[in-house]
Amino acid sequence: MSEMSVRTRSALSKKFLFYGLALTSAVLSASYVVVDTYVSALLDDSMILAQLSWMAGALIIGSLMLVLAIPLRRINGIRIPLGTHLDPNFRPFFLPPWAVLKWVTLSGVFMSISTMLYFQLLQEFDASIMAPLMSFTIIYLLIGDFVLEKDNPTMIEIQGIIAIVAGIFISSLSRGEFDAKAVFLALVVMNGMSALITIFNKKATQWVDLSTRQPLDAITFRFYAVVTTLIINSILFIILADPQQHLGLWRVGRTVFWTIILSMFLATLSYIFIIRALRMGKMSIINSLSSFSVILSIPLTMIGHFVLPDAIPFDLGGSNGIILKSIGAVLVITGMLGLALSEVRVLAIAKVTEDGLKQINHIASLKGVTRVSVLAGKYDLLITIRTRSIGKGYRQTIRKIRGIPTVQYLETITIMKEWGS
Amino acid sequence: MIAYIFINCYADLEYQLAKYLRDQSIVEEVMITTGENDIIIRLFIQDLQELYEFTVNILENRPEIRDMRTSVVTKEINN
Repeated sequence: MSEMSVRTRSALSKKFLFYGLALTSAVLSASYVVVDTYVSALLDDSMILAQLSWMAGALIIGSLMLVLAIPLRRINGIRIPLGTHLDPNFRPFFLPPWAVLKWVTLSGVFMSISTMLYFQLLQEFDASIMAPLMSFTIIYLLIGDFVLEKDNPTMIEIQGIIAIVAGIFISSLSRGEFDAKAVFLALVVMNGMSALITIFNKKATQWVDLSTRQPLDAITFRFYAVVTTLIINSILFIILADPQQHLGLWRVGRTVFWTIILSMFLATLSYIFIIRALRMGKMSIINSLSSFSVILSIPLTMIGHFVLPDAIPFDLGGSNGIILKSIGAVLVITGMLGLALSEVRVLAIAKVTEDGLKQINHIASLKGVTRVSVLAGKYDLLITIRTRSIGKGYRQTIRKIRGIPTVQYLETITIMKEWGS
Repeated sequence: MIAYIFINCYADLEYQLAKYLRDQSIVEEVMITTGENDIIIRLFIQDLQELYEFTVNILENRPEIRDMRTSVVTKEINN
């Protein structure tokens, strides 16, 4: 067996691992937003903060890559690097093809602009309000799913969207005033860019190395994403920043550098977890679970405010503010759990006529179909379908496959429990 | 190479077998299913020899398995 083909397996159930990754990422996200609030209080220049962040990010992921490349154990006589504990597909110092790098570069462009805007908005909102505002991306992604997949939303999806939108707005209003310009920048511009970044990331994570059947691992992905973003951000910084800011990068940068290192370390771990989760489930579900950071940001900001009252603002807005924040949090949790727990995977095995094998591209293009495998054996095709409900899967996928004249026999199988890498 | 193995178990032993199979290095997915088969596993294998060794040396020694059927994937489209 070659080194490329060795992969470790997780002992956790796939669903448990998927939710665990997404929720841990949410905890880390809420933590780094609080740290960033502290950094923004120390230095109010969003361009310098963005540039320092990506420099720190490159330093962290580069160092992490070196540590994770250390081979620690052997499987079948082959040395397995430490990084496989974080991502079973980890391949140290792997250079992906342009087909992947183009999506990483596009993601880098928007990440660069989004980071500057993010630090600008942190001057306006405390972390407990910023976190709900950042979670609005889920709405764009769900709507994107409906449009791209020509899909009608189910009742649970409509309820989920309404609950999340209401929760985010109520949380945002808890400070008792409404800054329309800042809310517009956060909801439309920053979340719009976040939705694009998520789509580009998803495109990149869909790539599979045909020689080893391995996708791009999350650590390598993060490395190239950060390096690309640093290059793009540096170009923008040189062009857009004035000489005072160029000097300020080195002068004031030293005072906040270690705090930024902490923030980017938390962000890097959060990112690796989310990228790994992206390969295991639908991105709208992952973003729903990530919205858990909305809830966590409230106690974390309170703790931060208690420890550093001058540096980390937290506007309770009196008893009404606390009630509004709590109602908002409950609504967001209700919405995201409804979305997260209502997805099932179904298999369909089929026998087709000789001409039927030419139809696999058509079957793969059907709504909800995530994989079509041509089999040598009793059956010809094994089709994997992901759907919000069995009824929706039948209506939108199974009926269409049964309608293909070359399909002679079709049997559907529901997966009751599953584990995977 | 990718292969699927469709497994039927003796009554009430599918969960025990699934937990064992999920720890095997070449097993990519383990699914406990409704329908004709109790468990379906997806394997990532280097060649047919590795598939043969897995079925003969590992699966055929498992007391939970009543019968099984193997299918090799000749082409695959992932979305």
